[in-house]
Amino acid sequence: MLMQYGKGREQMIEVKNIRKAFGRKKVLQGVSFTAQKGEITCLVGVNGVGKTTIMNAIMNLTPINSGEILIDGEKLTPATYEKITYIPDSITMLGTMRIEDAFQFMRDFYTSWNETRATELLNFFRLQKNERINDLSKGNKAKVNMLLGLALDVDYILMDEPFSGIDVFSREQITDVFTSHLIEDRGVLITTHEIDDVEHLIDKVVLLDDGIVYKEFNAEAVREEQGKSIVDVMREVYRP
Amino acid sequence: MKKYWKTIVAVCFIIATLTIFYVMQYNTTNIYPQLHMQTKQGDEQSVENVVFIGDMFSGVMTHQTFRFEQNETKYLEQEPYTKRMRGYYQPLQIEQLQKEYRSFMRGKLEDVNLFFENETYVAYGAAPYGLWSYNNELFEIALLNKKTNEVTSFTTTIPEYGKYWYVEPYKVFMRENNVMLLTMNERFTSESEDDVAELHVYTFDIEKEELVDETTLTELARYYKDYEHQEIEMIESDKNNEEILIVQTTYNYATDVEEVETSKVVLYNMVTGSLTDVAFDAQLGVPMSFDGDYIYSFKDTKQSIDMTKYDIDKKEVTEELTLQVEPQPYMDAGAYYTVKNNDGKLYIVTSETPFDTFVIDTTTMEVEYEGNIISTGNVNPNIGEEMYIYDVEIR
Amino acid sequence: MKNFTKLVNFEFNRFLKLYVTLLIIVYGIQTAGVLFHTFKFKKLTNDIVMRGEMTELEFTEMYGVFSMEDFTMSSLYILPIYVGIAAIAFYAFFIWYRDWFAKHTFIYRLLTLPTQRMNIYLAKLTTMLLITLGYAALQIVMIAFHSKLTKWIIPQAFRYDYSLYESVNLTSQYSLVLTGNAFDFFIAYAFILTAIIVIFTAVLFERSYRWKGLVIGIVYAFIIFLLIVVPFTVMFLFYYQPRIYPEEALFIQLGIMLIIVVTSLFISRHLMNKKVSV
Repeated sequence: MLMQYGKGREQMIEVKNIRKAFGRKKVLQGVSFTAQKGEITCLVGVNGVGKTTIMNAIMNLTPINSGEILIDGEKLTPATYEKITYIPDSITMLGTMRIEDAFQFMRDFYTSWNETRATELLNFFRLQKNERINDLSKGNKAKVNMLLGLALDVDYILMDEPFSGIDVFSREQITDVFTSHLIEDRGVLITTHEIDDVEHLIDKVVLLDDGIVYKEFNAEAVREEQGKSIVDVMREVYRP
Repeated sequence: MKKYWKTIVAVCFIIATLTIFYVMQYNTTNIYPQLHMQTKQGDEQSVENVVFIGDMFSGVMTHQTFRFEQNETKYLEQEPYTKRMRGYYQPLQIEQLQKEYRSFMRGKLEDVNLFFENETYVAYGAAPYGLWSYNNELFEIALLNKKTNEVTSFTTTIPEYGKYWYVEPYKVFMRENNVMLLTMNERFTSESEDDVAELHVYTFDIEKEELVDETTLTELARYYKDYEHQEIEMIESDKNNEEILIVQTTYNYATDVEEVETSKVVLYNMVTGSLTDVAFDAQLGVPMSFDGDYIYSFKDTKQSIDMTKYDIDKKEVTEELTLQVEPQPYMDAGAYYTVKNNDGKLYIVTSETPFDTFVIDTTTMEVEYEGNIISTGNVNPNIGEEMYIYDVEIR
Repeated sequence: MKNFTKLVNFEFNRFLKLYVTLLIIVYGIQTAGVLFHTFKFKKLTNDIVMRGEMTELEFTEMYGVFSMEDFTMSSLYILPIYVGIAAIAFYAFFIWYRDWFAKHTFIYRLLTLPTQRMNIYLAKLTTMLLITLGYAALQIVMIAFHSKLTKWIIPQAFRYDYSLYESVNLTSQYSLVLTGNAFDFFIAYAFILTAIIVIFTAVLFERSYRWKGLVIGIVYAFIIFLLIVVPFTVMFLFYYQPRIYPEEALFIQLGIMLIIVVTSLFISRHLMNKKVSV
């Protein structure tokens, strides 16, 4: 574990002591953690604990009151968006677009857009290029949303609740993606409140509570050394 | 490129349309009728320094102010933005004063009657309306010494301003380094009485910056009846800066034809301060010009303008002259025309096409120039296109 | 620059369908109004002159001749213009809010594009300007078309033809986006551009600070409004006694607008880069 930290010194997302309040409500009160490249890190916490806010903060989609976020040791610039991408819980393309229009849009603006991979994913998800996004089922929309993020040759992918409200089959397909070469070598930061679906995929868990990081641990290590599953640890934390 | 075509088409359409439209205008200066002089008699040089000002009406709603001089017609609308912003052409004298004394002229009403200029001074005297009221409460007095560039300016309350409907400055002049203001003050009267116009002369001491004297020259009864009203006008002598003629006229419009009659003529001497009644026969028409010794009065019919030259001292008509004019189809009464005196000459122009124009030498009472102003564009009164000339200025 | 061009193209195409619909409605109603008034007049001439009750000359003396003004003053002609302008003004807000409040929150995508965020702002600004200019340019074409229509329908003897320039000038009295000459056009668009930039800034205030931002935005817009209006008010009050000469007033006005534009752009840049929230 120490070795891994040392190895990935420059290759990670560092969240350092960030604070954020909405009006009087202090959501984040000094959150710090890291997400390494090549690992799947999971932000865990009950609803409203600020998981999405952290994601948005990393992507500079919401201002933070204090603290610092570094990606590979540097602050975010427009160019960073070629290196990190965000898959929020709803699709980020215009509903009036066809999938091919969305591809065109991505091709236009991202040099990291990988058309081959996009087509590969399209086939994998069994989607048609000429389908209009508005006409897609909820599950298929989620797949297109994921596709648009995964088809970028980026180092980091942020996913917010990738499984929420999605049917079982789509969920399986998405889970499959995590074990495939599509994720390999990348740094993934996901949030979920349904840990069961992804428990076996996760390398690292960051437990959030009351606006701070309650516990940050390596899932594999805990499993091997203490014989506990992630859910066991969560149970200790949330129901002492 | 294919995916840009709609935007490209839109951009091209915008640029093309706007460019063509706005550039086209620069090439079409003749949107409105152009005027030119047509000489009947004399030399066109006689009207070289004359600026005719008028309006061109087209359709129902629009009219354009124009200036015509040296065979060139300029419409206000085609003038630069800053000139158009005023909405009217400034009098030439004001234009000149603003050009030369820009800082002094700042914030001064653009009315030639309010200014006096001699070799040393430019004086200004006004009684502007208050910002929030329609009362003339203050006199604004300013004096510029052209040689030293020294400016004195002050305001002072108009004595008893509550007594008057309004206080209207008619003439600014100077006497022994004092600025003087000749005004007409129309007094409040009870309903049964006629209004009374008082002619006042106010004297302002420039060094003390205050009003030092107020004289009421005379009172003129002034009434507004159903079909009648009276007006008081001042005619400055064009030869000296000493005398001014004050003329009271009665307008009667009981019949279709409006009649104007001279009721009273007085002569004010600005140097001595004396006021003399002039025995003037109303039969002679309306005094329009004056040069210290003679009054030039006008009478008109549909087809002619009759001029008389009246000697004030001898109390007699010395010469007469009849000018033939084109009958003006839309006027029931006699001809409408503008008269301007300048440097021993009278400039007369009728207000409707074909704009009969005369230059009269007042010493000889001879017509020095006669002509018409003809429009080249087709001005069609049947469809509401009409041109009027209502003012003449001399450059 | 490349990204900016792409974004402008994207934003423009995104509005195109609505835009074309708007133009068809506005100019469709206008054209209908023109046809209504011309045919009404035509019928009058038919009823009276063609039946021999009056000669052409008698008719024109009594009823006057038909001109652009007969329909440009009608509500069928003027109202659509204002509807169009109102729609465009509304879109100055909607161009932003649609990214946040549509079914699919496109703002996530826009803000995470690997390009300066000001490009997004400037692309939206350019699109607004294109929309407005397009609207004005089409108005000129339509005026020409409408005058052609009258020429087809009403015989020469019964009508007065304004030149295109005069017609545009007539329309420009109430059309806020069109002027009779190039310099006025420049001034008008300086105002329009300033207005759009101020609206954008106010929207970004709201999008950055929500309720608090809404208040800031309104106050900001109000201050700007005062800054723009006050010199005019002063000029109006001293109309006959201008303390400042017209050309000075013009420079002051343009100067104030330049300051407003630059300040607003700086504020917007800051908000876009640092404060805006999805």
